[in-house]
Amino acid sequence: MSTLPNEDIKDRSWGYVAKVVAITLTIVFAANGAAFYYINAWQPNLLYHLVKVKWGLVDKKASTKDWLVLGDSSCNQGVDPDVVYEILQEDALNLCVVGDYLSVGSSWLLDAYIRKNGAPDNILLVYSHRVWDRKEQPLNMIEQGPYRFILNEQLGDTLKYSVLERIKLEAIHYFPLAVHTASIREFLSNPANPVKHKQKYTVHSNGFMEALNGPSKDWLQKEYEILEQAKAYRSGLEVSPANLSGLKQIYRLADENNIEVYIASAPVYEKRYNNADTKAYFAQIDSFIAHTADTYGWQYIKIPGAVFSDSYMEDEVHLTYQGARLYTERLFTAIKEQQNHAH
Amino acid sequence: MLFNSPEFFLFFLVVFSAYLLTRKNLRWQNIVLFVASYFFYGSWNWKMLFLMFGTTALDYFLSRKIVATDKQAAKKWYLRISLVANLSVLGFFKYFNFFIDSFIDFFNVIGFTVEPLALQIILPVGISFYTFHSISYIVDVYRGNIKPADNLMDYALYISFFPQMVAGPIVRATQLLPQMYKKREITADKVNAAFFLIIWGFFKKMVIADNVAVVSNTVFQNYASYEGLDLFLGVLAFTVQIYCDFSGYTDIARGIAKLMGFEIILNFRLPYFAVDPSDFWKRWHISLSSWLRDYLYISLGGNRGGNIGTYRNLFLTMLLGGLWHGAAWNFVIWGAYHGFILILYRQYDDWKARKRQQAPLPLQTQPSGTVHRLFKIGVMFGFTYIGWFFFRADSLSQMLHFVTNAGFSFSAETVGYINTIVMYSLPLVLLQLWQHNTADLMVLTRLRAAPLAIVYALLIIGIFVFGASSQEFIYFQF
Repeated sequence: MSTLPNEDIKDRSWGYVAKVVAITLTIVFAANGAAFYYINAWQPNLLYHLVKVKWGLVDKKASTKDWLVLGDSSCNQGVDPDVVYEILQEDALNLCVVGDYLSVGSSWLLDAYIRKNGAPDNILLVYSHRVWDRKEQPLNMIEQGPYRFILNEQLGDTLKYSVLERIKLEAIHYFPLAVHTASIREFLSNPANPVKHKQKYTVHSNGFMEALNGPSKDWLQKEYEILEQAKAYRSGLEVSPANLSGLKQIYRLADENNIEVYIASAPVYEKRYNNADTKAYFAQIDSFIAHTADTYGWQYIKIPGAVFSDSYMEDEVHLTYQGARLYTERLFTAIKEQQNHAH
Repeated sequence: MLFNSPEFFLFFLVVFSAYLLTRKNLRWQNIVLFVASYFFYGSWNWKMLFLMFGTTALDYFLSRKIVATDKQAAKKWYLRISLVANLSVLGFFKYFNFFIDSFIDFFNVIGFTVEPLALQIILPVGISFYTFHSISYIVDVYRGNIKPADNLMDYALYISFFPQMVAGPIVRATQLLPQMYKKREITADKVNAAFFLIIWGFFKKMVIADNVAVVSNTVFQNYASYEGLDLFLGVLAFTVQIYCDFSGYTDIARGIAKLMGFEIILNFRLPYFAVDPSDFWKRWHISLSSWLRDYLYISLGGNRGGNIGTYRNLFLTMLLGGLWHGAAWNFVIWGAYHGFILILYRQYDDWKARKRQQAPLPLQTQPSGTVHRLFKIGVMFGFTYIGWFFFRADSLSQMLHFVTNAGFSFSAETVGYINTIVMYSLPLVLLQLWQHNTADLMVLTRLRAAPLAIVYALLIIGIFVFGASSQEFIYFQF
């Protein structure tokens, strides 16, 4: 005989309900506190960690004034300030973060740096081919930095979030349970071995992060993957409004503070660059950067030496440590020649 | 706005605050709910508010006309106008392109070339639900089961009541309208029950449904790349997904309504524990199955036409019930399939009764041992599982692929799929076994405060950590 279940509503008092609510909230907030401790002590998420570290460098009031390097992760582990010094005898600070931070994020870092440390003499911008068409900045990444509530009118153009999104941004900053879900799931799947990225990644005091791994032969040799991914580029380059806006802000800040701006070819794996399906895409990127440089009066450092073989690449846009030294040398040698020519 | 969004959280905070502030004045409370409900619906597409208000106003005035006249013929005319208007609106917005496309396909198949006619028709969210609300109201007024609403706003509130407006349950006017006219008590019992419904509802939707959906969507969208056990697992994942998605939404809707002192019909009673199709339809989407019984099956004649008449009415009711779910042939097939197994079980029941030389009785009233009962549950689950395959399938070629390639071979992803389904279904299975064994859907709330709070905290933490990002509820497409 099939007995249909019913809803048997229990007699309960308000005291009982209050007790349930209070204990529930206490446990949830305690778990959140534990997550807070874990995220800050163990740094399981490299992307969030990088955002925090780079903002920390801005806040540190370093004495660097010669060069600020801004860009994405290919730049983060691709431009070594030590090599800059070897070539130009000038100090550089690498404030490159990750691609999703877009040029908008770079403009925030630049703005904050100028306010705290004064304007640098020069800026170098390096963004890989995978960044220009990205549209959105994940709120979870923004909440890692201090610009959660952009009240500054000058930066208002670059942050078009609604009031609700800004409230959410502030709220989730204090609630890692809702933000660092992937990291917490990883931890729960292996609680005996929490990740310690502090030891794993090395971000120097000049902002440069050494590559994690050597050449990834497995990845680079998967040519069919390269061919498959190439198809995605056939639709053509569409630079996102957020990136255009970020570049405009950088121009404004540079113009107001008499900063010389250089924008460079980003490092790329040769098989991606020379692939028949992506050649046109890279040509469009080249045109876009040239046009931007021309419009804003920037220097476009276009170097053939940005194209690397697999012995220098972790993957198609990230250099190994040796590759970074080589790329930085080529880049700043070209800059030096350009500067000499100008004089 | 979806229930599982920060926008809804803010919306409900504001609405509930206003609702509590106006608790001493029923009229003002209803105004708050009416404005909130129209705002809620308008947040999907404000233009559709005019459509909903238009049909609402028409039904309200026709209902008043029905009770104002003594002439039966006139009453019938007003009823017919309302039904034609409501079903025409539903038919146009939901089924126009489906019928046109099917018509064109048919003529193309038999050799006539017909140019496609594509109209960009937006499907108003919840139209299937509020149309059925309207029909239940006007029919119940006609039958004398309920008085017409006192005023247009009260009726509009019944139609648009935001907790259940976009994806059910289908609440009869006889159930909800009277609650508009009396003070709604917010008691500790109701709040306690509401908390369970809301938290468990969100867990079912955001943790279980949205995570197993990854398996079902991957398999169904890339079906040509799959074979063997993966195809079975894709359907199994959907079986879990659709239940958790739909019942999760319903639980949240009922919980929110309960917080405000309203009682909304129970919509699910552990459907996967059903022993036969009749039992299944007393457990799955109860508000729809009872609506179809009372307004369609009985109107067609019910079981008054002998076996043939009964089977015809059953089949038609299930067929139309399937079509209600969506404008596509797979829903029609699903409905027909359930009609078919209903008839099959009835025939089997009749055959057994003839064998025992007894008058036919529903299987549920026959004594049954545990093993026998488990067997019946397993068989019925199997039938339901097959039905969900039809429901989810996008095309005939997909159906054919599943049928010809399903098997027991493993792929590189099989173990991962099994892990996902098992891991996310486990809390559901454990609670449902407890609910089944105690015949009490609220059994968890029997716990003392501290253990209950620990369970709630784990569920909430699970929602945060394991909840997939905000996805629209499946039944919103209806």
